[in-house]
Amino acid sequence: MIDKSLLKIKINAMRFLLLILSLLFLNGCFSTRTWSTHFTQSGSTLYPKTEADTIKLYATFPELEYVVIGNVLATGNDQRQAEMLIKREAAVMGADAIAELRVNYNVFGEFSRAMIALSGIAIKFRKNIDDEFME
Amino acid sequence: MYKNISSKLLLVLLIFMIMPGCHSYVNHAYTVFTHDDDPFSLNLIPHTRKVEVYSTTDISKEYKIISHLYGVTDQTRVEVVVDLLKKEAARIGADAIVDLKLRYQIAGLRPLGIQATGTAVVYHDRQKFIEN
Repeated sequence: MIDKSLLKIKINAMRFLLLILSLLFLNGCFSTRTWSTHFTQSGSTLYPKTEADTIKLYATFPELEYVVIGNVLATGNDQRQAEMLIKREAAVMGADAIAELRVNYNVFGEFSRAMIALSGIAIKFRKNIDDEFME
Repeated sequence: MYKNISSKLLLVLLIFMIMPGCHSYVNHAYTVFTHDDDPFSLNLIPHTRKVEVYSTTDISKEYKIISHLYGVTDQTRVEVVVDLLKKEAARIGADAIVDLKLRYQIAGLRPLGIQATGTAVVYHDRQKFIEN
């Protein structure tokens, strides 16, 4: 009788362990995470931080004269979040705009949830560099 | 009894279904040479040294393209994948990587790592130096 109850407890413990294990896997795979990072190209100047809200986004390179600072990339659960994160990264580098913005839109089928990845080139307009030197 | 077996089987199946989505990439970089020119036909001697990295093709020096580079990592730090490309570029005797493109690898609802592409180039002045 005692052996049977012990066996039952062991089985229940095993079930509980399996449940926890599968929940851990689920958490690792299905939770949405946002990442953002940047890379400063060789020989680039360290510019003072700019405001993320003022960063402009371009699909190609703008006609205004500019200097390239480096690459920026970010992921978000929606376009607004991804844009906010990539702008923050560009602002840290002292950029005025992000050129050649590329969008990678990924929808996770059954849950109809999306993950958006943005990448681009952080640039600084020459007119703003001159202004800073004049100050 | 069948109920117990089926519930266990379901859990095991669930875990195996999830696991492929969780596996990591091996950090890797590889080269695709352009034209018929490989570093050996250019008389370049592959050796490790400092490789410059530029985000666009518009750089202050004249250069010749020798190959396209691809790299992937499961790391979140961008330096890891850029270092992979730099090592590969150094191995084939390149002076710099231009037109660096970085993007997140996404699986489901999470980023798996960073993918990088770039063009390995050799500067004209160095090429002339080697030829002389």
